[in-house]
Amino acid sequence: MSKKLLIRIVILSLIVVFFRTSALAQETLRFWHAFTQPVRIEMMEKIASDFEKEYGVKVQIEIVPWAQIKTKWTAAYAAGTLPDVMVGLSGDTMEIWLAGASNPMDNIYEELGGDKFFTPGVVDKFSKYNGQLIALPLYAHARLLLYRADIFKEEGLEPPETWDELLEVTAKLTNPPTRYGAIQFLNLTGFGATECFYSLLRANEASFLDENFNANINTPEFIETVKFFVDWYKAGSPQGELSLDFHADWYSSFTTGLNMIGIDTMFLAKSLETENPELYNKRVLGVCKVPTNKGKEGAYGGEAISLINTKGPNNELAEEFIKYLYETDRYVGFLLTIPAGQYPVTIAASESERFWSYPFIIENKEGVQLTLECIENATPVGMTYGINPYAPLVSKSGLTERIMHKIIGEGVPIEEAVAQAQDELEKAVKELRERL
Amino acid sequence: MKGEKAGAFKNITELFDRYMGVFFLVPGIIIMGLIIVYPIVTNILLSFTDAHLIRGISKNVGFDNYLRIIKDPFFMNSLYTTLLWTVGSLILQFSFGLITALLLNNPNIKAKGIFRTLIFVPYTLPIIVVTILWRWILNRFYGIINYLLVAVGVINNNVSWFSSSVTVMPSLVVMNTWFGYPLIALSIFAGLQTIPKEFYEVAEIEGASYWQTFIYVILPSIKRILIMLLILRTIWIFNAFDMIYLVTGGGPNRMTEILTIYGYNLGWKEYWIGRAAALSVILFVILFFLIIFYMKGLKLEEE
Repeated sequence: MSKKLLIRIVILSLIVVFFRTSALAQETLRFWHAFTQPVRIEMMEKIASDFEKEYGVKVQIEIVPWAQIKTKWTAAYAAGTLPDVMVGLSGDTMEIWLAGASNPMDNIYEELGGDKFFTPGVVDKFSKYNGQLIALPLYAHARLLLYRADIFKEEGLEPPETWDELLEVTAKLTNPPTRYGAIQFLNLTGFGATECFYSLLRANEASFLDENFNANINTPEFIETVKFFVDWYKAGSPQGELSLDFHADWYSSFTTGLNMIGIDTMFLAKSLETENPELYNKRVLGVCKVPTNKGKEGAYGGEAISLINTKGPNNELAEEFIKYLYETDRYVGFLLTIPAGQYPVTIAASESERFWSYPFIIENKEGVQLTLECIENATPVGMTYGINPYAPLVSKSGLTERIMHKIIGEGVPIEEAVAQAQDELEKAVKELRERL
Repeated sequence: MKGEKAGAFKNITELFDRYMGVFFLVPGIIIMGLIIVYPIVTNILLSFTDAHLIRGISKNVGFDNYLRIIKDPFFMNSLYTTLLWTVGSLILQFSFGLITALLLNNPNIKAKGIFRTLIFVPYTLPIIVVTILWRWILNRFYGIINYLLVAVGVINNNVSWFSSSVTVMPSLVVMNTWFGYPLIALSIFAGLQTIPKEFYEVAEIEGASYWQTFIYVILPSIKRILIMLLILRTIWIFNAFDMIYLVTGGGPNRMTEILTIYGYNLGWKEYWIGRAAALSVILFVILFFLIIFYMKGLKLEEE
């Protein structure tokens, strides 16, 4: 073959590859999600496959575990390789929006049907910032008090409704070293203490940040909540224990009968059914609302997992995909992959016969109904007064865990530990505010 | 004309032949420059700005980041913790590594091949596996260590190894030793194989004890290997992040917050990327002087 012919073939191939690559890039929707359970992975793959067939495009899914979302999206943003759609927690949606890495979703909200489509209040609470929708909630959940109903029955105990009652049952159930009333998970690796503490804070009508998003820690209600948490720890945890991790140790401690009470979502019910069906069938899981402090009406800790229209290359396709995910039958199918763990945010899904007649939902109806009730008055950590950019300074910084470590580990007086945390948070909020 | 063209072509060919080596090196140098030099230079430039993870626009702040870090009491805490972690890990890893290497080198030990393989297993495990494994081994409720210690009567109650200020760092150092000593052991063992048998024979003839043989024959022969291992392990342990972060997150109450975790928190939790970049430069300077100290102090250069 002559040199000239070879050069022509090479140039032609390069042209073909270039245009083919360009064409492919326009036809591929990139979607990141954080659902690592096989059943949710399968469901998302099925939805993506159906979308591909219907729209004649390719959907490229990447699974990004929750703990890696921040490092992943920031790197992608810097490299200009953001996906078209991703899921995130409330803190993630805020950070991505502030960085300028996502598009407003008001138009998608309206196209779906607006307030006739979404459950009242849920979109404003979890997705509205400065009058714009920076995300759309995909599903929500709230934290309840979960307890070993079988042990409660054995001991003749009733589910607690107030803090005093909670302390009382916790103390009665504690019999170290084989049983503890309520183990607290204070390791910095998991932020389990932050979420549990926030539920108590809400129950006491207190908050980390005030309505102007200033540090609000050094208040009587906050200190009262810390005192209760420390008392609860002393009544129900192994003394001096600071290293248990919520995600690694809560499930095993509950199912082995080591730990009797905890604050968590109904995800635990599904985990029990999947991983320990024998125990699940014994109906060991009891649920009730997080007890309130005497005289307080209280509110709840919760979260929404949201869809974010990130600034990828295929915005129109991204909007179609987001609307596609909310189609009722498909959406309910997704919610039922973790029934009782994922709660509908659309009116149609909330009223869906398919949702309410699902056997797992029926078996756990009490917990499901309680959760739905609590979602109405639940907010994510640090977002008591709405979505804000300062919430991650309390939800992901280990602030709560460090307060407890000082008090429990070093014997620092509660007021002093709280005052130190107030200074720390004030400084962080001030610096971030100046930056914004 | 043809002659001129032929002459020109011959020159080009000669040029190519003479500098062919350089042409082959250039792609590698470009890639190395992109993946090593560019990030280092960018990082240094970033350290002089108030770069923020979420809000992109930044401005030059001179040495402000460096001063903030040096004045931060948490930085000094992290520096102290890092030195504790590094020195503790080095002492144990080298002690166990040396003893293991000497045992492997002992002609009386049978089935050395199997031991050599088994000894190296910890070092082949991913860090996440090592941390999960040790979290279970040292678990307060289900851990084998507590079970055995209670069974033999050393302790009466289970210990929470990662909760107490007394036990948390030693526990992490032990974990790191289990992971890291195999590399030391096998590297020293390889070095021991290069010592000529005649050296041992001469020592025996001279009536040297085992200890004297170790000091005057073995140690001088493996000195270079020991120093290189010391330098490399110091760098790796000093820069470790995952092992501690996955177990304690730097807690309880910053007791295990080494410099890398402090830097991670600065950049990824407090969003101050510029300050995190400044910390990484400080880390580099500390390590740089440490290595110079090793090499000069241990007289590696002279040799």
